Amino acid sequence: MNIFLFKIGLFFSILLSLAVGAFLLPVLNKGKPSLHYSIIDKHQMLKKDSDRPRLILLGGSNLSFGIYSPIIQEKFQIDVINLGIHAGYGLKYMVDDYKKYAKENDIVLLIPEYSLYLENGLYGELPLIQGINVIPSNVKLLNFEQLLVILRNLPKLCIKKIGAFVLSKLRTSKGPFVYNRNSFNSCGDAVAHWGMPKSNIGTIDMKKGKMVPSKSIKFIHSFSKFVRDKKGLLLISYPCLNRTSFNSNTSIINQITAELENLNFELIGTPSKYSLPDSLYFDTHYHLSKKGQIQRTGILVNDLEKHGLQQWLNRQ
Amino acid sequence: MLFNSIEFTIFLPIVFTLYWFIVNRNLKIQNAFLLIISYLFYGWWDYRFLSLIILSSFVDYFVGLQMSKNDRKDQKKLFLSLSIFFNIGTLAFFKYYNFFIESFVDAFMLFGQSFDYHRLNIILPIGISFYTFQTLSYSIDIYKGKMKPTNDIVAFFSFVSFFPQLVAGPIERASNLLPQFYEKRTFEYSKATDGLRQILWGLFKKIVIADNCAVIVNDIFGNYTELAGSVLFLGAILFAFQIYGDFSGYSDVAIGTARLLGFNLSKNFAFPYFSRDIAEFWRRWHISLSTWFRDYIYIPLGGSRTKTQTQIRNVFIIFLISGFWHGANWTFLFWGFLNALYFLPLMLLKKNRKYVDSVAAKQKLIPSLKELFQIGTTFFLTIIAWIFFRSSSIGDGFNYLHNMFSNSLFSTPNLSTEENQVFIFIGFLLLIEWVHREKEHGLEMSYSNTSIVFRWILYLFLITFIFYFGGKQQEFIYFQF
Repeated sequence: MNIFLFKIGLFFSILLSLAVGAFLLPVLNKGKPSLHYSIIDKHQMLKKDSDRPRLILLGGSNLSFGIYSPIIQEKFQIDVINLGIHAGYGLKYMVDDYKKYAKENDIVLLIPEYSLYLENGLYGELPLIQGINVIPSNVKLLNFEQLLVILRNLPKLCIKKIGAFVLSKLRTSKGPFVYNRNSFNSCGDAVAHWGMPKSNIGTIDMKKGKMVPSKSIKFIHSFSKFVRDKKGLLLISYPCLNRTSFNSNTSIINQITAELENLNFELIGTPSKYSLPDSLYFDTHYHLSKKGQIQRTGILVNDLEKHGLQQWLNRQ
Repeated sequence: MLFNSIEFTIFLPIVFTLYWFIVNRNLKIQNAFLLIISYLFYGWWDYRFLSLIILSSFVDYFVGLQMSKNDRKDQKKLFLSLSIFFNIGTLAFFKYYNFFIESFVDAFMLFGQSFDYHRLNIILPIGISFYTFQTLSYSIDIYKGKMKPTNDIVAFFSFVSFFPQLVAGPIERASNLLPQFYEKRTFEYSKATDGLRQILWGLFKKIVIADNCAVIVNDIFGNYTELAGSVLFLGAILFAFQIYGDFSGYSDVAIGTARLLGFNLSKNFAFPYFSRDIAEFWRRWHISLSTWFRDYIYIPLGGSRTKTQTQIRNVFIIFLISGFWHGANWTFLFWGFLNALYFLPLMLLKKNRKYVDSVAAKQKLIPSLKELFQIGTTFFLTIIAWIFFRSSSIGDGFNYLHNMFSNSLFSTPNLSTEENQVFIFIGFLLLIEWVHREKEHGLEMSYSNTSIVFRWILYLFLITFIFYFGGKQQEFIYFQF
């Protein structure tokens, strides 16, 4: 028994050492600090004092790769902070992270990817632990379900980081890479990919995800109360899912929309309006090219105007 | 509690520590401990159904004792009937009630008669098909004089509810497992380490193979009307590996866990996809169920030592019951029927026992062309049957086959990276299992031949695979049976 316990102990010590060592490695992407580090820069934007009202864009990468904020800034004369990084953080983490820096009169435009209304959408997946890895103090934002996500994905993260670290030592990345910390402009929009060749965006099949929108929508409902208490405004809009994916997932999207409408949120636009032709996408079904980003922002600006954002701003 | 869950990862080390260090002094206390943790393991899923296991255990414990007290054959028969009535009755009610009612009504509707009926909202108690067969075998063996009943109620209840094999087998015979509860278990280093290796291999098969296949298979079977024949063919192959990885993976974890606690459970799978004919396949697939049917139904019916017509009838009975055991659906019956058709020619030509004690390419690395052809043909027949097993109706199964054998069967399937990845995992599984096909499980190793460095690197590699490439957690398929 003693030999057995000794060997088991030794084996798991090696395993644990590898895991701890891996966890301490920086989150790399092709040898450079990954896009997860951009949250530090985005926090700096949130901390900055300004006399102008501010619009906070909350969601995943459909925002960072889907909006060009200077257009909105210019139109409404406000500061725009695009907090979109990765949908895999889960809706709760994105919102809770913003809440730390929320100010009175903030206009929050929440645009979650459709997956955030489905199973795992509220509490996140592997990227959640990558986000925590960058800001360990954010661990206090997590609830039990999110801690389970972390626990389940910890080994996966360690393996991923060891792989990325070894690869970064073996070869140096050539040319620009879009998923790094420095891929964003001063508003938090991804722009490093502008002009780069497009790749196959594929399609998404939401039928594979379990349909549980109510959970996420209840959470949004409680967040709307938080924003109201801060005398702010919560607006909700729809992500820019590519046309092919959109057409093959209309029934699920309709269900999500119906639930949102039932709770009388202030909704901006319609789902189909933001679904753009596949040719305007860069590398995934939510990541737009430069032309796509500008086009989508144009649609959003029109919708915000129609919704009376300017009047709301004037009243403040 | 699932074997591939965080809960079990915490549960097992705690049980192991308490079992070997705290309650190891006294056999009765150790058995009582096993009983409590087995009930905890089962109750984790739904504590209400614990009463059913307790009742089932009590009935057969009582029946066993009564049969030993009564010498008269008719009285023994009466008590055996009580056991059969209770166990089969429970199974029939929970598993087949709605099926029988609906089939009955459907049959009368064919003749223009219609009935009002109520479909009961019955939850199928997990593992019921496994533990009822286990307790039944105990009563039948006592009736036949093959074993003596036990007076030790704790040992008997622990035998029925032994947590590693409670919910999905292997279906243990009392003659194999019950005596192990009477003897003091001593820790054996080689047995425990081999148990751990078997657990690791089982988890690999479940998490990396079955769970990854499940996502693709669900997609393909859910949209089979829109997909090319080549994709449907791949879907059928993937389902064959999903069900194998799922069920044999569960059995490996169960057997390995039992070995950690000093028990030996029966082998349930013996690399069935390397079988050279269907008869060999059935000697290697779900062995504990096949042998149960053989010993308690097939042989009592006369087996193969009877007239040809009776032999044919027996083969159909055994395969149809086997199909029906899997669930209340005509698709399972049809699956059993197909397997009977596959088996029949071998039996009539007296070739069904051709490969009883041998493995393909014995003591060679590469099989001969003939063996390769035999293995390929057997696997092909198996996947045709699996299509019906997986389909929601027999009609769907035939439509799937029809679409599969269309002109597009020879088109190049457009596979995603994940799908290609799954085929690489399956290739790895086949390679490892082929190399170890003469052993008890895919990761059985001899210490003299392999260095500790090689073994540990292999374990780390498999753990990495499990965590990194593991598919989305799915329930074990056989839980529903």
